[in-house]
Amino acid sequence: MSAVPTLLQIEASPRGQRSRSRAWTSRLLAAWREAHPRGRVVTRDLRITTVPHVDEPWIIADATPAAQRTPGMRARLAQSDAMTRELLEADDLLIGLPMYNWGVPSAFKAWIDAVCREGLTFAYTPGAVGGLYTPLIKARRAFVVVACGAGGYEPGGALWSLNQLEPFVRTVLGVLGVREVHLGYVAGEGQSDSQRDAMFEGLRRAIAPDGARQDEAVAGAASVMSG
Amino acid sequence: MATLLHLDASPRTTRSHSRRLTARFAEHWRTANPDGVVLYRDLRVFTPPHVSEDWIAAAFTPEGQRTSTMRNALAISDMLVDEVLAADELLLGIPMYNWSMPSVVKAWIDNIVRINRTWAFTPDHPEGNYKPLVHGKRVFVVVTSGDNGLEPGGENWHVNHLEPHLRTILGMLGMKELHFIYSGNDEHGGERLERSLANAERLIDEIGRSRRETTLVQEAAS
Repeated sequence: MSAVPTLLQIEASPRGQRSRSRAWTSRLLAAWREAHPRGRVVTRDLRITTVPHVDEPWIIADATPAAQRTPGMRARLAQSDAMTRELLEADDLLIGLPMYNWGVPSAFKAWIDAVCREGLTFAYTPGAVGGLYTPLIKARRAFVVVACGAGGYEPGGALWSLNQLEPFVRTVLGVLGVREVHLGYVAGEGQSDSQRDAMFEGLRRAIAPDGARQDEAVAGAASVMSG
Repeated sequence: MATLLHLDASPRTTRSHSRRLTARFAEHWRTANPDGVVLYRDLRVFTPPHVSEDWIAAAFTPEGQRTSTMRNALAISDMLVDEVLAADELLLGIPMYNWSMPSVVKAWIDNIVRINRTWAFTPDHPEGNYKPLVHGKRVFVVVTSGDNGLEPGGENWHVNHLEPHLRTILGMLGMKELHFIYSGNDEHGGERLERSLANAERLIDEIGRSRRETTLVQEAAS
């Protein structure tokens, strides 16, 4: 991690107070802050930022080398550039995601489409041995809260076969180089309190193992505590 | 009267392969259905908005109890649902973006999945909580991609998150007959791209021919 660890928090729920994913991400954020007292948090809230769908001017601007872009092209890419920079600066990702129609909401897909930038967040090498895609971001861990209507969407659960969200999120974050993707499901119904608590605990432990302070100043104390 | 909903999602115009392929398909359809109606929905010109909190609140309020603000929040969704319900067949041209549907197609999907219009919630029903309300439609999907091997059985099928998702969600609404036509290699270009396009065109022509033959048989029988 860089000197000041940075967490990028992405909120995709269009709901405010009523959002279950937001309730969990705010608790996980607190856990991350505790583990990284000097850490920096950047929040991109898709309820506030509306990301437009990719259009032809965007495609043309993106495909034009940066030095040759017209002011109009730069303007069209400005939002994508800003969000891409946030992603490039992040060490960890915290994502709050409601499941919509068994997949990600279109607002989150619009964010994905805006930050998957060839030459910026990944490199594409046709014919390369060992993979066509080389990740260019440094974040290696993502913590994803999935809010869904019913319980059982987790791997092995009764509704797993319908879950189009997790396989997609794993593929796309994997291409970007995020190797550790932790997902936790918070359901509106069909999930017992103990199941829900276990889901949350799984995410909390992954983000901040048992009170561990991951900053260098307290690394020694953390090993004593966890040992 | 036979009705086709022809939807193009590519943000590209003349450079779009999916548009060229769906146009070819629609041409065959018109020949087979000279009296048919084609509804055309271009998601480049008309981009459905992302579902908002107002949209959710309105959709889950019983129709008779909606305020005019709520009805406004659903106006676009209502229009897109009407088009789906009016069609006998759907033709969707979708470029694959980052291994799945572009956000504009997901926005269209999120707008057509409407409680009590395209599905109903039936708790404790033996066949499940979701009852499909869309019946008797055939769906043809043209998928174009930068890479290749994304079709079932292809080397990149495991990262195809478009077809499984579309099958799941349209299946939930009652559209279970889906036919996919793939054309890849846009990123590679050249001869490989030409070959992919030619394959897709051949498949579209075959579907068109068999459709015409079916129509002739039906006419002869009537």
